[in-house]
Amino acid sequence: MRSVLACPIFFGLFIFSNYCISGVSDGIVAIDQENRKPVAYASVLLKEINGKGELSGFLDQNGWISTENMKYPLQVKIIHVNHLAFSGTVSSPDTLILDLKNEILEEVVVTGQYEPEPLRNSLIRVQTIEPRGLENRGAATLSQALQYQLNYTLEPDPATGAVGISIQGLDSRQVKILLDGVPISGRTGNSIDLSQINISAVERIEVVEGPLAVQYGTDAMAGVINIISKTSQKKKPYARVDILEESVGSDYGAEEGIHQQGVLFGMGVGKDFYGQLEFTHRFFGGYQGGIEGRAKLFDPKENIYGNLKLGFRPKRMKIEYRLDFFDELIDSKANPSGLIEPIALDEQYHTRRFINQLNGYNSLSNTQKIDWVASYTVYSRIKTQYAHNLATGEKPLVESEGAQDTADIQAFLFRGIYTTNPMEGKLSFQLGVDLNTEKARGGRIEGADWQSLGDYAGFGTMQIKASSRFSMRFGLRYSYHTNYNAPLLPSAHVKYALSPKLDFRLSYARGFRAPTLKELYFDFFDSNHSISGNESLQPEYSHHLDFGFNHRLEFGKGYILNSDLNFFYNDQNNQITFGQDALDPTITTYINADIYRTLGFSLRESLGINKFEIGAGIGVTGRYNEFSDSLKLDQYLFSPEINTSVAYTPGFWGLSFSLFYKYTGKVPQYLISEDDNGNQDVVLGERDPFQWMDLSVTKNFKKYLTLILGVKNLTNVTNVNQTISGGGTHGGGGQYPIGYGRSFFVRLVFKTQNFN
Amino acid sequence: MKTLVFPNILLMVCSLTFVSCIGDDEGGFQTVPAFKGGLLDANVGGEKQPNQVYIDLSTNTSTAILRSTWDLGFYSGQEFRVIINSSVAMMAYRLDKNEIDKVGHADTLGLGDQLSLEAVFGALFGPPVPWLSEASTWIDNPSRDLDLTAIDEVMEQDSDNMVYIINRGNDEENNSRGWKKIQIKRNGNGYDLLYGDIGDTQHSTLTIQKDPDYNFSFFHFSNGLVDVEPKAAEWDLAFTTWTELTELNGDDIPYFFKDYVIINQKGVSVAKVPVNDETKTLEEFNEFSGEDVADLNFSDSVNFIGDSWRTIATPTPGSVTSVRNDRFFVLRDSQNNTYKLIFTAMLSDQGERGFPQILFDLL
Repeated sequence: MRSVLACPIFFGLFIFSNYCISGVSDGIVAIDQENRKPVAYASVLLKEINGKGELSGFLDQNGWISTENMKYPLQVKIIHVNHLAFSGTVSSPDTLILDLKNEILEEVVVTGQYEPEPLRNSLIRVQTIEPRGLENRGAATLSQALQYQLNYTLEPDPATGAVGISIQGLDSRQVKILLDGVPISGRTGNSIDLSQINISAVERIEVVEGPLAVQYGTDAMAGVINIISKTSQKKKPYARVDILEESVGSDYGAEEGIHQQGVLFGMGVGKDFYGQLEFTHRFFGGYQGGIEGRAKLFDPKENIYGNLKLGFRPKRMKIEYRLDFFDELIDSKANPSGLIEPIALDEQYHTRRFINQLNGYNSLSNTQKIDWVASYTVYSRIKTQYAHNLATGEKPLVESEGAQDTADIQAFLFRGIYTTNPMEGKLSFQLGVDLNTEKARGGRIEGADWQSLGDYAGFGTMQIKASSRFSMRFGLRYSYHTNYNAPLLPSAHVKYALSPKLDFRLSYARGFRAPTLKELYFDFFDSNHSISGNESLQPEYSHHLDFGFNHRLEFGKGYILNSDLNFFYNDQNNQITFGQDALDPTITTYINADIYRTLGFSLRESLGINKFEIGAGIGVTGRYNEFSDSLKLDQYLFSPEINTSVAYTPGFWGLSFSLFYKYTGKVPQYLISEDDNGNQDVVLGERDPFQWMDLSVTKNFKKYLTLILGVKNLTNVTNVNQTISGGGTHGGGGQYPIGYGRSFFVRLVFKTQNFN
Repeated sequence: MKTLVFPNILLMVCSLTFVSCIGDDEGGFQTVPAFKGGLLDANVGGEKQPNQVYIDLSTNTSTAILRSTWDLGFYSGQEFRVIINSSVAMMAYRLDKNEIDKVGHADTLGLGDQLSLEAVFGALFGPPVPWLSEASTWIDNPSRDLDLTAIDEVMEQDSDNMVYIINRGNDEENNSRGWKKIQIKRNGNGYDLLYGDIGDTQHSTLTIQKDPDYNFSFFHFSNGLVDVEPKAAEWDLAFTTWTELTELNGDDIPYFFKDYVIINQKGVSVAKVPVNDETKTLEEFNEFSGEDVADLNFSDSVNFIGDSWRTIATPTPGSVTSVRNDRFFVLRDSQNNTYKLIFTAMLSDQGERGFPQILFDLL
């Protein structure tokens, strides 16, 4: 009898002891508030309050970490993706209780921060896009990731196949794309092609609207998009495999539709070494888009992305080698020329980008650290044109001028940032250097040799926490640039907590966009064109002002309603555009001429309640443009946008459902319009409104396998009309391609158990 | 006896006819039958299109000359009109002076920023300029209508003829050919051309007679009178470059066109035939016969064909530099031969522009 009772008692003691005795006596344990289960693999930082000792690492599968070599009391910070961050002082080994958080809030952000910060604490208004939503939507490229953001407009260009984005009415030349804080070089035309950036296995995307020019320099006038890659872990091997099959409208087959396969693999070696390899292959079959013949509206293309990280990360420091590799081949078939032996001028565009990077950080003490990165990018875009004889099959290279072209860009960057907080939390500051050189040739850049530029800057920011409610940050950047007079850039951010639930933020920043090598050294002279670059171009400048409120309401059983209201104003001058050369009016060149202003607001609500996560928002952007003396928008023209998203997890069969919807209102545009005689004119018109909707269902099988089925572009948008305002003698504007029509996708994602 | 006479008469008759058959081929009027048709590749010269090519369908000959061979053409017909060389984008600006030696550099002040294709194009990107609407008067009207030339009719009264500043345009390598000043007067049934460099105080003079065999007498500032067009009766159409007018922002402005086709001023007319099924253009062309000609409207306008025979690729996906497959043409030459002709290529088989080809057939 006794033996029977003894077993459960002994067993219970054993369990208890695991929590209370072995766990607590020489370490710290974190458990979940609701289900009392250990919070495994949470990120933890321990600092001795009365010493220099520090430990950063991860809780093990029991939620435990050893503190046997440390002296209490300890400052403890625990961060885990599903839980609210824990920050506090612990005077002896203890069990810490972590609250489950709702997915939408309490993300940790890094862009523009001194160190990873919970979103709520950030002085700068950062928005995040989480990978789970991207996975569920079947989003694989950066352009798809951003399409639902309010006041963001995608700008697809059929001529090059590139996709740009405009933010708050400022175009894609003024948006800076970063990979883990390092800018990407190599533009197609004047902006980075977002469809070339793969985000399948991304950790998170962070967006800051408004210039972060103090930290990031040129091109960040409209904002910064920071792609945070999957953090590599020092542990047993982990992997993710991602297969995406998608139709393009109703086209799907071996040579049609979208076929994407990706794999990510990583592991730790020894205590401090780690490696991670990611590889994705994507094939896009092209989209006919109503174009007759062999030519297509969007050409087929094939992309390969690779990312390798090898690093050494003991306590207090890290050094990592990183390689990003991108290869894209666009196959552009042309319609034939001639009646008897038709010749088609087919083209291929081969783009390659290699980014070699060495980065790291060093904690000099508990209050000082240095982050640094050195990066070398080699980018090339080769255009090849063939005279494809459709009768004989021969394809010689075309020898006319401009038929074959290679554009090369090489860019080198070094950033070093020293961060210190001498008065813990009250005063901290950063000093940084940002050294950039870039050289380019080909692609209609003057001369057979390289043209180059250099941008060498130093910046400093200071953050003051004047009280528990009030903090502010000031920044200043000074640059020396080889081609133009660089501006001194100030910025100021203020955050005031009106109540524990209500934050007010105000920001002012000056931004600029440096003239590109193409704008400086363009060269296009033939019998009808005399267009040259302008070496005395000055940068475009902007003032940006925004302010807003963020309110977080918790009610009921862990329900959270978050409201974000933000107003913005951008004032740009010196915009670079085409104009007459001041010294020779027969030559057309780039000049600093335009004035462009935007203002508007956005209101975003997110609600987590029971099994639902709901988001909704409305945004309005007003545009004011003094294009030239003959074409002016003398008043602001407003465009509204509405978006909503719903995620529903019923809790059985591992199912969840998501819906995304966005309404984009009219956008004013300059259009080329033709009358009956074929005469052309540039007039003010507008792009019609349209709606976009994605719907998907996700099923999680056990923990390894996720299957997602979805419909994209449920409203079947293909082209959007551009109309001329006010009618007049000219006919309608034409069509602007937005999408491929309703498409379907299937996505299969395998993850190892320890992948998070 | 009967039997002997008959064969002799027969022999006599035969020998007479036999003699008359031979006699027809010797001396007297001989008309070579018109060429029946075929493919013709015009030697325009590739990418830069350096040549004008004058084609005579009935003899299947083409004559290629460099575009910069001439500057001015003096009309041989009744009127006294002078044309400038459209194919090198020449421009002529009329001054209010009628004494050529008193014209100097001061009279061209500001013209450097106006009197050229580059200046006109450049002006589109700056603030609106008042002179842009006048630019169409500095070139010959693209139709080569002699009432609409850049240089006014040469008047009887010498003092009614003004001095013109000439921008000689660009040569085949797109280099500027320089500037001159001219003044033209009548001399009996011919012309007196007074010319010189802008700063000259002593002009040169050349008397030019009208030659009825040719449409124009052509003149080059360095080489004097030169051969350009074949005799008026000996060519039908030509490939050339041309200074056209295009409407931009409400004004007609000069714009340079390549791959342009003109027809002979005199005696040639042409009509357009629309194609019903663009996938069967060559078949419809082959089936088109002389009977269908009666329904057509013929025009003798010099630039009736112009650029309407081809399209040029734009950045819009699907657009292509090619011959148009929705039309072909019927041409009636000065000997009343009627040909159907269709443009079959614009590019060489190496994909280079400036290698046009036509297929033509005698109806």
